[in-house]
Amino acid sequence: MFALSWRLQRVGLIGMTGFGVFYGLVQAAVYNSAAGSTAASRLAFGQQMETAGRQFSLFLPLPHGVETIAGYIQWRVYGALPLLFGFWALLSAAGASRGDEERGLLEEWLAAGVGRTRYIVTRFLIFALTAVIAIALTSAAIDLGVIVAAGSSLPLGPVFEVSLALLALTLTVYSLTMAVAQFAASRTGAAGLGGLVVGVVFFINSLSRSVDSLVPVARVVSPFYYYDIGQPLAPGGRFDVPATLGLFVTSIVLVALTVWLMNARDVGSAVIRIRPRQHPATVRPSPNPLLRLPVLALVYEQRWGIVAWGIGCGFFAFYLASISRQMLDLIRGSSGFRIYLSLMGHGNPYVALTGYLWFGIFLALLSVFAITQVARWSADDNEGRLEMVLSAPVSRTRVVLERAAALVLRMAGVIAITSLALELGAATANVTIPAGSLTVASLLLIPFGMSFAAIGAVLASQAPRAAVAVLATYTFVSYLLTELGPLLKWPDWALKLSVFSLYGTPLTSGVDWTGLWIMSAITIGGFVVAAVLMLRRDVGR
Amino acid sequence: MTAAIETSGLSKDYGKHRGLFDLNLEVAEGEVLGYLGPNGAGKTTTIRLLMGLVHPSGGSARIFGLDCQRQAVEVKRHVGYVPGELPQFGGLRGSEIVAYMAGLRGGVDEKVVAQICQRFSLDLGQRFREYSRGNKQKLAIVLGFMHRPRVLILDEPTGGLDPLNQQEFYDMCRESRQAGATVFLSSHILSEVEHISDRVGIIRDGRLVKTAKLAELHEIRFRQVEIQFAGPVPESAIRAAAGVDHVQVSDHTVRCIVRGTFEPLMKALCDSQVVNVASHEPSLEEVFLTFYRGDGPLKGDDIGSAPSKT
Repeated sequence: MFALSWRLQRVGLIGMTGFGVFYGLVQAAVYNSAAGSTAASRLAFGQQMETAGRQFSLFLPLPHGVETIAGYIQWRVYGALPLLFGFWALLSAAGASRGDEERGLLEEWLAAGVGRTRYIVTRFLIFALTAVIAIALTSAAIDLGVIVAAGSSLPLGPVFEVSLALLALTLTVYSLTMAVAQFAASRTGAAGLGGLVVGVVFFINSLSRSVDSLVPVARVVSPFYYYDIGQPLAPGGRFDVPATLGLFVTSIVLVALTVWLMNARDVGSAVIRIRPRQHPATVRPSPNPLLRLPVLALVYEQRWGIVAWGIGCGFFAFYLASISRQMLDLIRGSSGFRIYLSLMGHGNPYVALTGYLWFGIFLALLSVFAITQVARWSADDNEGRLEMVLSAPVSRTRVVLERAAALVLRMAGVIAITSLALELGAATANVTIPAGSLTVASLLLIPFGMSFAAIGAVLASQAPRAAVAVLATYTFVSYLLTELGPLLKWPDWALKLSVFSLYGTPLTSGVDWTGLWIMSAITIGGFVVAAVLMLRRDVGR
Repeated sequence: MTAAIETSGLSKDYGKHRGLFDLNLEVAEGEVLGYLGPNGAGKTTTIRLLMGLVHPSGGSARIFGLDCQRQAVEVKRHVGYVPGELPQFGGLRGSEIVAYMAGLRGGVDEKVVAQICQRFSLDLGQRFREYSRGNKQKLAIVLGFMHRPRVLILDEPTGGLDPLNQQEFYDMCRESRQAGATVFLSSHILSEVEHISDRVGIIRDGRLVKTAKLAELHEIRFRQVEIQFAGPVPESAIRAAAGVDHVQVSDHTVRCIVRGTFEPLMKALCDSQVVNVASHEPSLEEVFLTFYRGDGPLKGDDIGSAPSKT
């Protein structure tokens, strides 16, 4: 069981380690580029960052001593890694606690004589082992990045201490999700419920950074609070031993709670069984007209996902737009960040910054949305739905085209909700985004997202099982090329390899026609190739 | 009678001797063919080739003269399909799945859907993930039969159904046949095939071993015989008797297999004092197994030439 559990965790380990290493290296390099090399420039940079950092207190801890590279790494890297590792822990725990059960693996193990206690403890220990490896390699990469960027390494002791604190937090999030997952009946439910609980405790801590009355609440419920209070790398910072120890103890207590809850429930059901809502019995097909129209049926099937994506992205858009005015004032006063002014585009600088802040992030989110859709196409194949669709008089070409059409509609839904939220958020900051420009910028997001989907469609048609991993890697590399390339002064040819570079800055600079044509060509070409490949390959599990 | 399904040299080579090789088969219009074989024999591969889901390595398949690859869309207007592995429809309700598939297919009569659901007591109001294994199978049957297809391609369709629903399913197949439909039924359960098939095709290791009318298959049955003697066993005479195989002697008892007539065996016993003779007709299952066992008393080729009298 140990070996099999390790295998199940292996992909996550490789992905997280790769991401952590890359992120660490890049952030260390960014410091050198943005802060300059003189003591004066770094001091000025630090002061500006401390002011700027307060705007991001919803996601990052408050910065201290960021004029030093160690302080910057503590804030910018080890402040953001809990989000990254927490997300990984959340998904891993949902998969281990309910995903394996959904796939029947748990039943197999129980039938083979593995007890529930042993099952939970083994999964926890395997995750702990992978987390140790991922965090150790990430920290090593960060230190390497610092050596390359600044010529000197970070102090080993504090690096170890902050890594230990990160491990304690990651394990706490994992065990918390495992415990919460016992109240859900499916992997999706576990991830959703776990995400809700972890999200709530995360944001309680985030808000407590600026709302003092929330501090007592954060102290009681949020493991993130105990991670934040120790900042070993920051100048004058310290490693909070009781807090870290407390997190380790909490994770063990939560594992014990998970074992108890799991022993109290039936396999395949939640601790508290909610009687399913009675639905009138019927022997007739649904009268819903949307289901009769294949493209709309595909949209209808994912209606709640579209709403969730729209609300999630909309919240983020609103938040970023609402802080755009303060951010611009800060950027104008910072020599290190003036490079952003040249990247933002022309026209009203507030609108330009809103566009730069938001669309930079939204492009990444939209590409992730496209990846989720490609994952769905791959699953159609692996789970037999494609086979069922092709048992009807439907050509494979039609399947590919209907997928594309349905995705355009889904993206349009998410984009519409988000753009509305952006406009509202900007209004709260007294920034007026011209409706025409916002409409153009929003419409251009569709060919952008579709070009990712088209690449994914090719992959899903040729090798459905590998499609998501390959597309996610390409997306990640593309995004980093676009976001960090200009800051790190990478050559133009390298930046143009990224689809992200094709979108331009339509909110202020109008349509980048070359980019639009290339995105359109990728989209059309990709789906044509996908259709051809689909015709040629065998379908099925 | 014209051929509803016709394959010519149909092959799908997955390597390492796995797949389907050189299948030549005809199923007449209105006929029910039981397609028998153990797991991994190539039944599902045959069906996936007929459905145009996988491409053949060689040969061709036609349904009503339409090429299953090049004219796959047209072919599927005539075909109803029940897959071997059920697709996963997650949180959709049964009624939504039927509506979606009906929308894709077109021309589905809601009354037919309702009739089938009533026969199987299937509630379409439930979510797919809430269905039991049997109810999921019933839904697959609804999707396969709802448009009254001219050809039914069924891949182990009764898996998960209880005996009552299995009977209902057999009735539906018979009714479809009476209405003129052709049925290609893949199964590894002989009794299932026995219930509804006109003809049986037996596949082993990707090759069609035998096609025979069901009655013909019954005729080639052999008998298992147990004889008890009061005195010594005439073992050499029994072993020498024509049509007698697999002779096992223990104390005063002989067990053997007799193909064809009993006359040679009776002659071998005429000088011995027989206390008891018991003859047992093997089930079709046992006949079926002998086709698969390379070391069994009867090889596939032998069966075709085995005497029909028992």
